[in-house]
Amino acid sequence: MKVEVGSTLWFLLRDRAAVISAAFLLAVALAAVFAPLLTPYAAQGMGDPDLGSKFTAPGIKHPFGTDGLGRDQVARLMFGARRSLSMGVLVVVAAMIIGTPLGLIAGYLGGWVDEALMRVTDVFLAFPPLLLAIAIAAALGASYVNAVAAIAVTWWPWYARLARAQTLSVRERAYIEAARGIGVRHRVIMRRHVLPNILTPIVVQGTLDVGTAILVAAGLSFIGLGTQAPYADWGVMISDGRLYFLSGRWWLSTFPGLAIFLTAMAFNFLGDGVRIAADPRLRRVL
Amino acid sequence: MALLSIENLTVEFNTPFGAVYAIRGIDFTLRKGEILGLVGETGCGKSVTGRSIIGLLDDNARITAGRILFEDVDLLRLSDAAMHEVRGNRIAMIFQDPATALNPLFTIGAQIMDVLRAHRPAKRGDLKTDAMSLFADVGLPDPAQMMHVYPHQLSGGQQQRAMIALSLAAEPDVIIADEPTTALDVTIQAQILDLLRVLQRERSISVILITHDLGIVAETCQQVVVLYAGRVAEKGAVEAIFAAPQHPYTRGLLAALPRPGSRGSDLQVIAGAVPSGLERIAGCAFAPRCEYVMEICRGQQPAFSDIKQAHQSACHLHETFADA
Amino acid sequence: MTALTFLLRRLGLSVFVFIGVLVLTFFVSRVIPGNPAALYAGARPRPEQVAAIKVKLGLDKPLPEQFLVYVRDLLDGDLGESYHSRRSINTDLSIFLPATLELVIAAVIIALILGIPVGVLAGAYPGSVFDYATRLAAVAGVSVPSFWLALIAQFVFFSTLGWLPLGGRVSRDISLFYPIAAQTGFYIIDAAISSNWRAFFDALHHLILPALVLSAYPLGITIRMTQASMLEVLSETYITSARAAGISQRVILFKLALKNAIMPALTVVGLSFAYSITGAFLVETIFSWPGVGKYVTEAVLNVDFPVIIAVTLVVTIVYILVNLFVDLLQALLDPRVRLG
Repeated sequence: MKVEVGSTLWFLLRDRAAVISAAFLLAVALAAVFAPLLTPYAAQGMGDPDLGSKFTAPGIKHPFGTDGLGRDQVARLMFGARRSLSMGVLVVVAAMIIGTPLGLIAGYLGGWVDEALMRVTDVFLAFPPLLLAIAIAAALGASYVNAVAAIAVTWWPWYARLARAQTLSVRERAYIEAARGIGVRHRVIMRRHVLPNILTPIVVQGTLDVGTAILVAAGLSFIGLGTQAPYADWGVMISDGRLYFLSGRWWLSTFPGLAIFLTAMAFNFLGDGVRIAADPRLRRVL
Repeated sequence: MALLSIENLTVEFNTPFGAVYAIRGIDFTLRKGEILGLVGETGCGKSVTGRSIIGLLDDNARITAGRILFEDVDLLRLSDAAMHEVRGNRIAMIFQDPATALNPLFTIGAQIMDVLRAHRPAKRGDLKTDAMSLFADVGLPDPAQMMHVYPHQLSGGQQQRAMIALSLAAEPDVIIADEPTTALDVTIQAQILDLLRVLQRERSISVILITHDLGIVAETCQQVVVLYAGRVAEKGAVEAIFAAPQHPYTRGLLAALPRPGSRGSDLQVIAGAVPSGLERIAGCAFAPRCEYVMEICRGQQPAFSDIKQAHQSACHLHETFADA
Repeated sequence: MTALTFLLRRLGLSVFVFIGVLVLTFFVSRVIPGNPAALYAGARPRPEQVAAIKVKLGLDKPLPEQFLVYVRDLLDGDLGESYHSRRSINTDLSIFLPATLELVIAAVIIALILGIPVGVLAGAYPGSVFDYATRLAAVAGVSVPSFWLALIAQFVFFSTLGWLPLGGRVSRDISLFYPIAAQTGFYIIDAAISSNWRAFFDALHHLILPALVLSAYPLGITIRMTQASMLEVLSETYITSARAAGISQRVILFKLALKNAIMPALTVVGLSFAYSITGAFLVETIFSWPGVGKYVTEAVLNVDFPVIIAVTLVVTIVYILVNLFVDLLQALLDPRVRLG
């Protein structure tokens, strides 16, 4: 897949769902980055209790209400976005950093190296998603960083396979053959000539995957293997509110759940838009 | 007697780059019981013409003008349901690559029975007998076994015979054959063309044979329509046109035809390229490549002039000759 | 490719993957943790407990030897003992695994029964309102966090409408007065074969909500894949030739095209299964469903590492078998593989 940036952008802008999604994600990202400036309850966002205003229902002072420790849920959500979004992005980036070079080397060298790598990815992909991540996170101990590491370790095979497939299609091109012909070393060819040519589709795929990564990370946090108190991400907030949910304190779990839902949906719509815009064969569908 | 008349048929495709003109107004007539060759290079609109007749254009295609009269009924004005009655029953189609035109997951027998069932509800036993007799008619060996055979188990020639059997199932009056032999070996080609001729003679089926190969036309057809860039360049009886081609494009095509005894260097090729479908063409579409091009050719589209009865050509040269 | 070579290659691959999974889980349980013995001994272990575990698991021996011990125990069918409950994990799993499988299979069936026809129709009429609505639903299905959807579903169908029970596999009075005779461990099946219809309907009643929630993600995947596969099949020449032969739209969509579209769509069976299992790990606790998901989430809270590793291994083996089954089924349905 060769991505033409100009025409891709043009088709993307015609896709209303993708444009709205991008705007939404930008807003969420800004809210996360500038959270301390945007809320008067920054300290509560980072975990400080305010026991005087426990379980306040949504109102003017607290639009999304407060939790059992009296913390403003808007602030919690904005600070939670920092964790949830960063987990999603870090998982994908880490998985790409592990997977891309392996896939590149396998695709470039071929032979038994290639065969070995593909069989290793088979083994990783034989686990139902999340399950292996739970085991690894449990082995490493529950924490934000370990959760990211655990998911990334189960996720790299996808990028390894994509990088390998892209390398196979690039490897036979004339300039690579030429470089090999004049005796350029393999390592240099891989880094200078192959890598830049396979990077775009991998980065596109990675962008699409962030939504799913956020969902999985929220899942790990929900069962207690991710972000630890006093901090919270959206998965932890749903988990914290769960016990009160059916007894009238509906706002505790509802808003963080909506946040994950809408963010994941936005990544999906944006992803579909990018995929269609980047692939001329799919454009007719629009 | 005219069975099928195409009048001023014009088809456009919507694409991200704007409208592409696939057919720029063509006219021709198919008479009962004859084989008409529709010839031209890739992209000249011959397949689109076939698809327009049977009403199976892609979603992004639009018929912007013209009529398709079948027994004096305009097919373009028929409802979907009425057109559905025409397909298979009155007009059938066979395709270039039989390997992709047959469903890989159903037996040949199941596929032909589906067609039979669609057109005349009957008892299963009858359908089976009919199916087997159709297989025999198109020269497939062991019709009983054919009922249980999947497409991939047949050779290319046998697949095309099966496809022809399918198209015959509902006893249509017209078969549109879109490059039916292009994907086949030369010897098999001849057999399939023979089969089409036999069917035409014995069942008095009319055939529109879409091809890029003038050799096939010479062997198989009675009438020929030469298309260039979505327009008719020349049309008429095969003998007349092969004996005395009038349009410079037809002459070029005939000259490019390899003949027995000709060496490679003798092959003539027409210089230049076909105009893109995105262009509007004011004059003669062939003007940029024509060795006889005149001032008038670039500005005015040539009308048809009768050379003789049943032989017409769209070229300004004829008018010049007529004036002289 | 003949059927036999396909079968042998596929089986060979499964065996290889199985061995790989053993190695990987061994690695996760013995090499990744800083002190595996402490992890196996649970939260706040006493030193003599750690020492005992070290000897029992052979952790004082070199890694290759440890691996042999690990494999030998598994081949003996010994998955170890839960630190927390001191019960044999084998016994626990024999109760919890059928509960999860019942739930997961119900979710897969819902996903396929709803997803395939919807995907077929959406693929058949691209650009229609139905197509857009379907796409939206499919994206929503794969974007919604299952554990949140579970809470919302409980709020709507239990708290507000009162149509469905909050959780559990059967009502308390049913388990007291009409106990289900355990045979397969699938309550629906066990109740049906013992003609215990009261329990059957009660179990079904309890199954609906969690199964629906779990089916959201696989449903989204099924719709997307069926629709994409249908779009591709409908552009094939054999569909045009069927149209040209005058075959009706109904036969074309639901007989000719569906059979072709379902071949790649069959892979969604495996995927649906995988995602339902993933979902089960997150929502079983919410529905008090006594399955392996609840077992594992409780193990996470209790730092009950042997349970986590055992469940990972067993569930993955089930998943490998499901994928093997789906692949063989696919081969069986395709005449080009079967007869080629």
